[in-house]
Amino acid sequence: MISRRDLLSLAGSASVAAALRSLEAFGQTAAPIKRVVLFFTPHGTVWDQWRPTGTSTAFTLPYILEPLKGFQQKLVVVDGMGIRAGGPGAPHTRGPAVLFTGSGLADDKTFARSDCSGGCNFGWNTSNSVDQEIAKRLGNVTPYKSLEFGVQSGGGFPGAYISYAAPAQPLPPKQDPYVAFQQLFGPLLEPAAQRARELTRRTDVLAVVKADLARLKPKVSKADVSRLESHTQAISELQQALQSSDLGCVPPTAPENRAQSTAGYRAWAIDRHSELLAASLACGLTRVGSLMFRPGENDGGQQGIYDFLGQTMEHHLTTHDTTAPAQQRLVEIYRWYASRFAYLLQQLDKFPEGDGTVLDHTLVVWGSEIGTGNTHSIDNIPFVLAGGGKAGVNTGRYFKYSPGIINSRLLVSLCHFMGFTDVNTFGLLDNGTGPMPGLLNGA
Amino acid sequence: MRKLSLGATLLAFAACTGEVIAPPPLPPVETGTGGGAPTEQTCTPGPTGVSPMVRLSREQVDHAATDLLQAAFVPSSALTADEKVGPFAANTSVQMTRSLAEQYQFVAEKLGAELEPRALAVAPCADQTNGASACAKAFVTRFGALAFRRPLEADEVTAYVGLFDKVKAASTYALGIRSMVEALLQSPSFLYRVELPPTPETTEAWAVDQYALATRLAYLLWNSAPDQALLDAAGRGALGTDEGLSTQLERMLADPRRQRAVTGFATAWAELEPLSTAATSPERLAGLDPALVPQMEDETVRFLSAALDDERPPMEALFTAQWTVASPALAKALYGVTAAPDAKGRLTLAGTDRAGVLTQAGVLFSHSHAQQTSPVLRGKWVRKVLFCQEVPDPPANVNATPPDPVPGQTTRERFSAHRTDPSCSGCHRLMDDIGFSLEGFDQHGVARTMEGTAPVDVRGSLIGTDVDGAYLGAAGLGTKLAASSSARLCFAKQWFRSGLSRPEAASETCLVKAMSKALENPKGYRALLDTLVHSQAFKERKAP
Repeated sequence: MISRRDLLSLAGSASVAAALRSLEAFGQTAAPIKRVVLFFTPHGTVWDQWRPTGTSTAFTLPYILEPLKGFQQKLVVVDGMGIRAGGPGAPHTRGPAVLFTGSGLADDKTFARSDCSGGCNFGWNTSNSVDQEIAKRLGNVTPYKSLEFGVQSGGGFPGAYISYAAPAQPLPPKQDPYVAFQQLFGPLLEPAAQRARELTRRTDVLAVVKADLARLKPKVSKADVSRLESHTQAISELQQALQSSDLGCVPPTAPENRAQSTAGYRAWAIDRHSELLAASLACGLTRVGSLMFRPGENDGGQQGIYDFLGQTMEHHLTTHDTTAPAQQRLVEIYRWYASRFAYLLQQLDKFPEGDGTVLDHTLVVWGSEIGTGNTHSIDNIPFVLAGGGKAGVNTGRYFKYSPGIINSRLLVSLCHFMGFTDVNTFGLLDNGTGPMPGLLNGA
Repeated sequence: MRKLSLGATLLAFAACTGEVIAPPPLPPVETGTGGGAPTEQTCTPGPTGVSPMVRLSREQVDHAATDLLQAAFVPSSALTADEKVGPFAANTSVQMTRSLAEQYQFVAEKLGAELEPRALAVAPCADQTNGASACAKAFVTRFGALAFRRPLEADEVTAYVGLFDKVKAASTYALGIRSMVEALLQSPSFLYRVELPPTPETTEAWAVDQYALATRLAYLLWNSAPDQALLDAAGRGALGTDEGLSTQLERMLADPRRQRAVTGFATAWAELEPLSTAATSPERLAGLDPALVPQMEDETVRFLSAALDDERPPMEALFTAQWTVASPALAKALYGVTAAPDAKGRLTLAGTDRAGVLTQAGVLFSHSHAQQTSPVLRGKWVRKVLFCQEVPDPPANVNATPPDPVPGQTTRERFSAHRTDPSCSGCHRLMDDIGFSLEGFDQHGVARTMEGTAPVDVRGSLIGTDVDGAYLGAAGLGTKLAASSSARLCFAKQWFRSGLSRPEAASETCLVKAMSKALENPKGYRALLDTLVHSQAFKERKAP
């Protein structure tokens, strides 16, 4: 058996990740480990610069997807898969929640504030997202059931989240790479004795918090009980997460502590998150992750979001401008998204695992809340999948579905990929059955 | 009396969202005053509206870190954005998750780590060898009451001292104290404003207990937790009488912490959030000194505070004041005002086109695009936040990008499509006709009479309000707003929403009207608060 000390001394060698794999603390099974990652960027795409040309196995990536060329044999480009509307809410608000839950927003008027008209008659999500369903089914195999990262996402609206543990339980993503690093890998940098002492102490602190929740629960209004129950569950998961300090991971390079107001922060942060997410997956902190770049919401008034691309106008406003210069600006934004998606894939691909890499055992899904910005069309979402080629995914493909299919097929496929083949439908809007035709071997 | 129901509001504006050919019906007016009808006599309070349990806002956690621990670390930097009611923070619907709890854990541990080296100063202990537990108990009893905004129960004290004992046995006194603090700051009794019912099954509204009432008072007036004096008053039952409540109200309004509530209200109400990103965007700054951006926020916050205390009624001061409290640097750079402030610290704006909050740089800059103004954003703010009317998002499939600036053309001319295209004009005349009147100020809030070579036209007009009609420029709009009963009622509603973290229920119209009436007089803000804190809505909770 390899000790933690041995592992740390191996830091930097190519065999580290493979060795860590065998140590994944809670997994006793010999079956290869599989993982899923969700990736989100807002406001669809510009289709004529996105849609590949050629056949399903020999195709050329156009301008927007060109940055992914190096990964073409590990990609699945999906054309003709939409999401369904159903239920209240405007497209940008509803889309991020529907994308991976396959369910509409609640009709409970949570957001119908007293002076709000039309688009505000909606509530939170009505079912969990696929990453969380998978996390739940995997159980406590890793310290973290899942890890969520985000850049300027999270907040008081469903449009700001893609991952949901349950109805009205959005998972706020980690926003600050420096903080995320401290949380995930900080304890590993401490001397062993201190690390052990802190593990006990933090466990004891959380036990007191849990006892407070238990004492309060019988006294509060019935309506408040479920909130305390969710809180109790959250504390249990935090206790589980503390075990990560015993895992013997090799921390990635620590990101610098950069203020969010720094120019170009978003472009910097998304890559740091990709590094942290990849390292977390590679060393077994979790098997489920998501990364959301900005909310689906209208970004009115927030200029300078794409200042690093030399663009002054809000993204959302630009999508409603059909003039050629504006469309060209959009194309540059979407191409930049593709380049950041490529960076995430690169990070996953640099960890060797089995007969391939971590990427080859991870199914990564890139989606958006709408297909086309100007029309808010949702019949076709620019989905790009990647990875999993050594774990049952038919990669290097360009799938064109005509007639189109809906995202629930993909969500079912993700469950099947992870071994949960009893799942046949996903989400309350699902009007079909089974996985995505052609994606998984034998499917 | 011209009064339409909220239902009518929704219908009227819903007509804007589709493929509109005919302009939508005029939006309704709700003024809060009737045509001579003695509203207050005929107005009896209805049932108290529903209050979900509120989780502290980011700002409130920041204030707790300052008050309880004098911390340097700013918790909001690590916390997810708040849910909102209107423009105001109100965390009432999101269920706790591991990732959110992890943020609070991170905050608690940061604050704990900062505290540890000063543990003995915070929790003094003469005899750490034999008396450590007693010291910890004394500390958690005192500190815990401030954190939980109520005295701790005996079993809570036992649990926390138990934690202390265990940690101290393995390490140090300081780490034991730190651990208690970390647990307190993650406890539901700290994170939520818990208001316990008589029994869990209670479905009717109930009068909240004295500590919960003290907590409501403190968050309304200070946007932070009760201090020891307020908790003591609650402990004596002193908040159970009108006099007792009034005594605390007076005391708390005289406390510097009052500024926190005004600051929180002002930044949300004036929608100044975009300033934080604008300060680092070269495109938005375009030559503007970034040091001026925080001074913009500071001006509006301090102005709101001064206007509320002015000798004139608040709405008049807010929208027509010919003075401001801008920093000398800001006043000189953007307003061209170089005169010294008067004894009250006020700079006169006489002789300029400026009057009131509408002409302040922060408001004008945060409701602009990079390198050009936005009549839409400015008009929308006036409609939404100042008149409490809703304007829908543009329908899909329209080009909503402001046209690029054209030499020799004014912004008003460039936005002509909004007037000529019938699918736009229905809604846009509600916003643009207001925004155009603020065109006398550029995207940085600098006064202008020309846009390039074209003269600026600042004619504006209001429809769908109680002060309809044509007017001229920001000053004209300010005069209209100052005279509008509808805007006054809206301002009262906004204080209700920010103070109680929930929208007013239809059954509480009576109360917001009374609050609005209070604003008719000088020092009306105090009268508004007085009306609110003595109301049934303030003293009662109805669970969802």
